[in-house]
Amino acid sequence: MDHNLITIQEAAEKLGISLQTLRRWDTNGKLKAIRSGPYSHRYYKREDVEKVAAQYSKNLFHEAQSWVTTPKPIEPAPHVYCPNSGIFQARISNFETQPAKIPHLQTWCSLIIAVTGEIGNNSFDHNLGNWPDIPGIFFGYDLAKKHIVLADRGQGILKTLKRVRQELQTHTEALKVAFTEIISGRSPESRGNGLKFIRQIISTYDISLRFLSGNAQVNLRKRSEKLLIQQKSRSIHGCLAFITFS
Amino acid sequence: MLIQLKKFGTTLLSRQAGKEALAAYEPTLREIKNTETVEIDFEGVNTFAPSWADEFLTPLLKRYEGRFKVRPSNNPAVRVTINFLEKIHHISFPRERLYLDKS
Repeated sequence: MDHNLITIQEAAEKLGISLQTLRRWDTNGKLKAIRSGPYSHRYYKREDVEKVAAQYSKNLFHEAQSWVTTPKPIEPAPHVYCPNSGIFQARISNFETQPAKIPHLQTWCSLIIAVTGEIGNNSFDHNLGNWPDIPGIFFGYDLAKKHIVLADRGQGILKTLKRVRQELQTHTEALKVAFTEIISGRSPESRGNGLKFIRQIISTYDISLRFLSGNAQVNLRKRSEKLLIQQKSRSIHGCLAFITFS
Repeated sequence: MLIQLKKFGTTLLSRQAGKEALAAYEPTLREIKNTETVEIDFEGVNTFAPSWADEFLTPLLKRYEGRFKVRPSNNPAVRVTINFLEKIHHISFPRERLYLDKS
């Protein structure tokens, strides 16, 4: 076989997307495959895949999404990787001064940082000593696009909440509880409730959030209390959060 | 006693940091007299979140019940955090008179 060709499986792993997505991209022309062999299997030119991967990595959300979907545990790029809470704290302290440079954000940018801090610190608090593979979180931001991305390959909301709410069965149920129910007396845990705090802020300010855990996704739109929860066809490891502000 | 939170940092976010702040401050807290008022000053704090506050302010409120107060702050993160902790724990952080805004 041509050394410049890779299998559909290898291409999927490089891009952190599913085989179905690659097949769809082949059909719609976004990334054309080459049919080869007796069974006419799909192969891809290495350079074509690398070109798409480069475009993909420019998009923080896709970069984080790839990280939490790929079955192979690898560390994220150093500029977005916070392996421990100390590094996250240092990076968020540095980030803290950035949104305030945007004039209309000056009065309430502390809330953007508080939302970011609660999500990032939740990842550390709920997974300390229990990281399934890669410890730490993905934390990246693009102020020009006004968005922040956080992700972890931790245990996810369902497994964490099951410790105190054993009746929970699905990721969608777990996300609903996490964003709506105040769970008091989480003995022996004193943590939790951070996602309710975030929902309260979003209901009043120009911040939106897309939050994924397992195969469930929550959308919270700015200045709205409405919680849109949906089940996705594909599951992620841990949690993925996409914060936008305007 | 006036506790200026800026002395613990300007970015007060995580539970771990809140816990460490309280532990480090214990020797100073032992100096508080039995009838002395304990006031919290948020001036100089840029970012504040419930995780940090729940490890620092909530225990102090319980310990100094009846003589604990929070000073006014224009920082929305401080206001939203205080209101949120009151809601989830069914407690009340006594405000100074100027602190009228509960929004």
